[in-house]
Amino acid sequence: MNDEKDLSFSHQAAYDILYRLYVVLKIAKIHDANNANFQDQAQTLINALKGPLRRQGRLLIQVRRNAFFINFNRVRFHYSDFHINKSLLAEFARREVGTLTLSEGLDGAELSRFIVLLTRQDPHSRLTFEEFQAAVLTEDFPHVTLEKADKIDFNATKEKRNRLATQTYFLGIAHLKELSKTEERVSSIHVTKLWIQTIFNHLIDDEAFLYGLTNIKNHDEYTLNHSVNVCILSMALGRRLGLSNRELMELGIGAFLHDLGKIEIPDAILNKPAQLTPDEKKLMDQHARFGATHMLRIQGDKSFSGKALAVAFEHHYKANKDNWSPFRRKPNATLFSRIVKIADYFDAITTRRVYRPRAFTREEALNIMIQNKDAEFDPLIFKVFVAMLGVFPIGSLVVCDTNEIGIVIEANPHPSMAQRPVIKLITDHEGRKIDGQTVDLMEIDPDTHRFTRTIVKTLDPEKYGIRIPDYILAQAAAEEAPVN
Amino acid sequence: MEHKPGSFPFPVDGETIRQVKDIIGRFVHTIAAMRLYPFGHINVTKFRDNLYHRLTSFLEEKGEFEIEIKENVFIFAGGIVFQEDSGIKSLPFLYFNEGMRALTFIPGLTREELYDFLEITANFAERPTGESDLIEELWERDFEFIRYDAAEGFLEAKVAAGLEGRPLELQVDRNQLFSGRIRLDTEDQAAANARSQEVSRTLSKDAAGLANFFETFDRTDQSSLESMVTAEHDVSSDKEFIETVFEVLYLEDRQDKFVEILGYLESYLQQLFKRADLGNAVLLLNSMSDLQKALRSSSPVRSEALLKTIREITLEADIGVIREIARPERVDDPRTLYEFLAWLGPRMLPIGTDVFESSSESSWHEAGVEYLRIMIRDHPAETVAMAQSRKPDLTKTLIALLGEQDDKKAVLQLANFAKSEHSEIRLEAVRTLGTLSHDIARKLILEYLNDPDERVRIEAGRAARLDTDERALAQVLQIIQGKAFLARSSIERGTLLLAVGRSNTAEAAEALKNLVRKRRLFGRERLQETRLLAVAGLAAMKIPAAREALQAGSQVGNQAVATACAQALRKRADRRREDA
Ligand SMILES: [Fe+2]
Ligand SMILES: [Fe+2]
Repeated sequence: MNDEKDLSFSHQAAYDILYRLYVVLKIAKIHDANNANFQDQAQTLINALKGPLRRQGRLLIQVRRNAFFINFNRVRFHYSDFHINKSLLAEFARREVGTLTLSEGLDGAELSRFIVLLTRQDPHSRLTFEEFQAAVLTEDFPHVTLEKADKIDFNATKEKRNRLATQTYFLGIAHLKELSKTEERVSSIHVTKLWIQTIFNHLIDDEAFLYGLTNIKNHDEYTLNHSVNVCILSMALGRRLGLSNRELMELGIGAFLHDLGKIEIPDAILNKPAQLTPDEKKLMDQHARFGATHMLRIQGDKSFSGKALAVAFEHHYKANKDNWSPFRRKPNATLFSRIVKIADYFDAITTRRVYRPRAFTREEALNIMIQNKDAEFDPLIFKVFVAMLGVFPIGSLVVCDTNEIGIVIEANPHPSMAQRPVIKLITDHEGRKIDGQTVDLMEIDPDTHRFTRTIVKTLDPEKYGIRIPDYILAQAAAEEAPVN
Repeated sequence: MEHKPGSFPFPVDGETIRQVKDIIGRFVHTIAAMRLYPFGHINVTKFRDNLYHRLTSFLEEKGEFEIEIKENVFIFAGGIVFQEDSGIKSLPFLYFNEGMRALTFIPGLTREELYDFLEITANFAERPTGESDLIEELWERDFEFIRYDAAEGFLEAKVAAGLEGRPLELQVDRNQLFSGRIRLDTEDQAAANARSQEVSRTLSKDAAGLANFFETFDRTDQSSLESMVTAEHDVSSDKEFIETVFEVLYLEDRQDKFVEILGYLESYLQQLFKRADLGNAVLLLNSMSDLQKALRSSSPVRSEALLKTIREITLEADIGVIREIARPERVDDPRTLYEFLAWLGPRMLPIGTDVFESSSESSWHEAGVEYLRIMIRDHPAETVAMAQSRKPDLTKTLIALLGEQDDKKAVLQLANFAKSEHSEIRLEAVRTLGTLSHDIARKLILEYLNDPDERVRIEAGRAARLDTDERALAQVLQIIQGKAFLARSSIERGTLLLAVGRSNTAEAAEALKNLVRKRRLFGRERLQETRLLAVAGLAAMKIPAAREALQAGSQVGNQAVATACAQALRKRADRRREDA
């Protein structure tokens, strides 16, 4: 088809259209159609659309596997405007729209009407795609057509996808356990790579749920669980930075195996409930190097991944070079090590350990890291990390001005609205535990024209006996249908 | 990946199935052809193009092409559309075995992507198992319009041992989660209340500490991040590997582990050889010797282990393999290749000297000279033995390099060249000897005074130090007084007579005087010329005996000779005045 008709698009033009669409949708959510700003932005969007519509007759805006395509040209987003992609995806998913086709003849008025309809809060329960499409047909939009997203675009149900992701998460732990036990060289690196691809696909499908899973902490097998979390967070960070697939694989392997060297540290030291003696600390500090040696053994002769190796070796290197070795040629730790260092630190201090009786909440953890950022971390990467997790990272326990308590399950895609994530309510306004609704804190009360709920405080889940991971996992178990 | 017939966005009728079967058939055939015929063969391109056309028109019409993969079959809409039971030769099996469970082509599919996909599959099928990783290669190619799914079920089977029979998912007790009550403690409640009041007043401008850190990225941040990532694209994983392993080795004080890691490095080096990655091979070898030096005093045992490894590497490197990889077209920088060969020691000299002789470009020549310089310094005998008449360039360079050494060993090496049957080589040797101060060099030069080649004799005459070397002078005087001398060319005669003059000795003056005064019946012209040349020799002399000889010469009956002597005397007088 694209042999006959020229559907090619400059990436800039395609990006521009999506960016304009994003801005218009954002404004439409807060203001009504008469707002001057909305009108201006709608006009800018129509101007961006006109040229391509004239040249190509129609514009297909499609969602495929969480990526946008305009007339079959994939539009790539960078870390700094990642939220645009996320936010647009959320709009399409909300209406189950797979393809939005605009055709020549579309004008500003029709476009504005459509935007208003698309972003409108449905009066009672959310409209199905078919109901929404019916509304589009009755209100007469001659130049707008919708197609439902097919099963692959918003694959299976959310619950089923969550269940598969959870399954993969635990498979990672099992796999790492196996790797850690093996003394001889094993050729299981293939399985590791496959696992990394699978978990990464889940990350693309539902980033929020994966972040949620990193709340899972296993105190008996701390290192295994921790490694899987660090791997997920590192790859998410690497993805935002724009690493290639090949690089993400190396990063993933490095993060997954970063603490492998701990198998050489006696449990008595790993789990010592008191401060380590200088000798014990000296041994403990060597786990990074031990890990590198183990990785060499695991990788065998077949494929050496130098950057993954560097991650294991350098993941405790400080940005201020305090603890660097004297026989060092490299002027800096590899980018991947700097990524993993941040994810590692974050996951570690949000975990309760025998020597750390209270884990920091996720919000506290970020604050502590901000204080130490200059000595410990690459400041820029750290900034991306904080932006990625949000003001209230997923898994935070929060109380709203309604007195309802909830758990953050999805960040707000707009950086300026970071304090308004999506939360799952777990109590009513009197503190009674309930299997509550999932609510978007962007929601506005139609009567008062104010936000329905606003977070007023984060809580320490341990203090109230709330096990966050269980609530995260409950999302995967919500649908009781048997697997397959 | 489960499939419910009817879940397709288009009707799955007989015609559709027929089309799918046709496309799959072409798909399988194309891959088979790619394995059979060389790259770019007409059979391959024909199949490929056909497949592309069928596939894209299917995509245009139906929107998507998805097949499910089972052990020996491809399945479409629940029905088998291709079957191949021949085990490892079967394409479905190949995918299945790698963990692939579904393969989907998406509208927008480009030729480039389809062809790359076919190629990766065909190449993978060709390679012995364990050599490569199909899933990894596909992943690295990052297709936009081709999707494949690796099922969790596959992973689960692979990881089964680690599961130890435990259920995968944590059991969540929903009752416990959603019953009971949470009462905030007074502190939390107070904080929440205070904040709520604030919120109700201002329409919510959150002032959490974190939010301050939350400014969006400015341009500087953005471009720093971008350049950081771009720089990372350029860092080779091999370099990272080598640098990291050596740091690990430096810190590794357990001898057994240290040796174990050295073993990994050796097999890694073999990989680099296989890939003809000379740059990283050199980096690895250099790092070995750096570390060896760093450990020499602090850790002699580890240092010794390193030395042993280095020795093994240089002794065991297969010369055939190295010749195959050490080819100029394989490297960008000639220094890399030569440094690599230098590392592997004198056994690789035949390769290095072949490369040297065959490359004429100046950067290559310079790097080659540097290589030979190192080899001559460390392995003089083996290196000099490479000189051959077939390789005049090489030989001349070797002679010049020996000259730089200026020690007895080098001079003796040069002596070998005196015997060369190639006059070019002898000429270069005597020229170089002339620049050396060593006694033996001087003695050697004398052997060339009777060389069959005139150019060599002239060079030897120039190079001989007749002023301080009595033996040399005696030998030259004998030559100029000999009968054969007149038969030599005027240049040679002139050169020798001038050299004799410059010796500034009484014997020389005497010999020249005799020549000036020589008379003879036959061969007058040659004699006349020789006599004039002898005058020139005397003119170059700075001792009183020369003046006397010239005065005597100015009295001879031969007009030309007498005039020449008189002129030389005048010049001497002028010179003296100026000196005074
Ligand atoms: Fe660690
Ligand atoms: Fe760690």
